[in-house]
Amino acid sequence: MTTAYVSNDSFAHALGRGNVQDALTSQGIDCVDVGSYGLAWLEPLIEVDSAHGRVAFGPVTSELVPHLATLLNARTNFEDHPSFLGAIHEHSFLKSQQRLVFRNVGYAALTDIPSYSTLKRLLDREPKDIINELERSGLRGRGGAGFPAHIKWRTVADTPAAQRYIVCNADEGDSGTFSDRMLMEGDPDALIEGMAIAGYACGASEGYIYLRSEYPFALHELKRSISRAYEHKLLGKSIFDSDFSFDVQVFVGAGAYICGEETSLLESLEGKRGQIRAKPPLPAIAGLFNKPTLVHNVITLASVPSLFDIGGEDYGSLGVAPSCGTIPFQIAGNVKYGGLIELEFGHTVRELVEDYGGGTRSGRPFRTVQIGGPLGAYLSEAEFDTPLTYEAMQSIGAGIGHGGLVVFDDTVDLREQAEYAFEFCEIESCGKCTPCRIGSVRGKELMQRLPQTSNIDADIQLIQELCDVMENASLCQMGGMTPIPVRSALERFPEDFR
Amino acid sequence: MSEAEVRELLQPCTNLVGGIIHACRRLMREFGYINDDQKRILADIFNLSVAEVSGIISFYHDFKTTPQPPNTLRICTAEACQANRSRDLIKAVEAHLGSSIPCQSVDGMTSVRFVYCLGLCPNGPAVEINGQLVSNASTEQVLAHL
Repeated sequence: MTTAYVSNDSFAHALGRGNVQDALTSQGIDCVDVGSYGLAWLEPLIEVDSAHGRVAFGPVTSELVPHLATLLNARTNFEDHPSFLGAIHEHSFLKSQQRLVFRNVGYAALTDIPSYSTLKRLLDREPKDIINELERSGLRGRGGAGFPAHIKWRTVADTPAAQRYIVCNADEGDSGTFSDRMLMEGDPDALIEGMAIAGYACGASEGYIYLRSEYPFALHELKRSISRAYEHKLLGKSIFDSDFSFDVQVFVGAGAYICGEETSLLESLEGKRGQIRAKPPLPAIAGLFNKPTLVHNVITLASVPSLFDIGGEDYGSLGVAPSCGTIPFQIAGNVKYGGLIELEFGHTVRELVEDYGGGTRSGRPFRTVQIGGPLGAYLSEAEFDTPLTYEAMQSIGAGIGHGGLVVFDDTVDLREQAEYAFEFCEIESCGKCTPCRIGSVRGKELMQRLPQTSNIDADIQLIQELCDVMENASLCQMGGMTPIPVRSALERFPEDFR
Repeated sequence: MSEAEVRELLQPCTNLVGGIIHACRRLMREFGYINDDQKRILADIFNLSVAEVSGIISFYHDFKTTPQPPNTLRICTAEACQANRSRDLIKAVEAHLGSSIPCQSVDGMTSVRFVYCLGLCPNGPAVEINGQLVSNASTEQVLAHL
């Protein structure tokens, strides 16, 4: 029987993967679920074994299947098929990537039994020693803030407590980002193993994955992986016959962007309104149920196994210190070739947008890129040669955030986008502090009246003052960063406001 | 469903971390919304006031307190989809329905709502119809469900 490795990612499902699988099965082809390589425009993508290794086809539609099945069953002339792509690793979009976190995604079958070999190896080492190696790797939180991971780990480990927790923030709410989703759908074991390693190093025996409800496929894969890990005694009591025990549960959110903020997430996990907590105390000292809690984003935790496999020093030598290692960028919006691009820090925005993205999907001239989600800056083309490091981005008033880049063509109206930034803040504000709760509403109103206003300079001045208040007086980054898209649009594209 | 049956449905949630969120999700799945009687049951089970329970329910977009149509259609309103003309799609759907989203289809069978990001950002506009994901959604495709 011929075997086809069929992308089981949400990308593929949203492009008719179900029908493709049915058509393949009806032609006697055995389908194996795999993750996505992240070439979003080629989904649904399938691979088959050939004399020269695996070769790929995409995008495959159910109409294309009969012809494809004939070739596959005859095991010949694969290249005659219109969707033939050849070896996917030779594809220009993948070839130059540096895949560490995503090393298994796309290739490994979702039914493969994991080994957790990194965890096994690390269980022979002292927790302190593991944290020291993490420090040498220079890993920083990939959720957006870029906080050094080892400081959090050490704080959790050193805070005296009877119970500590590892909490994975899988509430990936930023527009233009999907790396957490793809990782959880394509290699959930990397995340679970990363959590277990963190648990061992920090002295925690319980882990929670806070997953947003918009990701049902990720939920399915996480559940499948967790129960398989328990079955093979990779989770639970005395893992690998050591003294270390670790449990993992998934908690599904209920639709609230703010729950991606760590303290709001912890409130929600405790069964409350997802309202943010004032910091300090930091979650690493008093987090879930007031116990020391390591809160990390999916990619941060999933980076851990590959980081220790190549070694902390080698990981730290990637990128541009202090932005060390690799980060999965995501290029989206109006772009010809969108998807996931894992690279070391230091490549430029231009490389991503032009070399990988290949220009706009609409074919119209490019106008702006919003980087780092809904609270990220709108950049102009003049800034395209800025290297993608935390430091360089900060120097132009922007941030990498969760690594998402959203491309817009020349039909974009930046006043509308600035209005939307306020509106989004209005809808998703937790309501705890006034600058965010009220400021967002007033900001939206001001933006709406700009086209009719009699005194535009006065109104823009008012918006700037409002932004000052939100930036300086909001309790968390929701209100504190809403001014970033607004101000970046005002500064770089003033013509859209007049 | 009798009160005893509702209590039985929610019983497994009481031992879970963040149990009330799990319980609300069960009620949503079973009934499509959470009514006042159920709020009182939740308050009793989780040792909260009804006001606190209402506060939790109203905080989350997924929880509803009024009966919902059998079908749900959600259109992504996030920036990446905007870059692929979701604003035009939304305008066309609102013009067809004669009201602004969130609203119901003319026959009352479908709830039309926004969702902020389905994680399909390079292939917008993204739409979700009764849990089915759709990329590159066209206006015709969406209107066919309304």
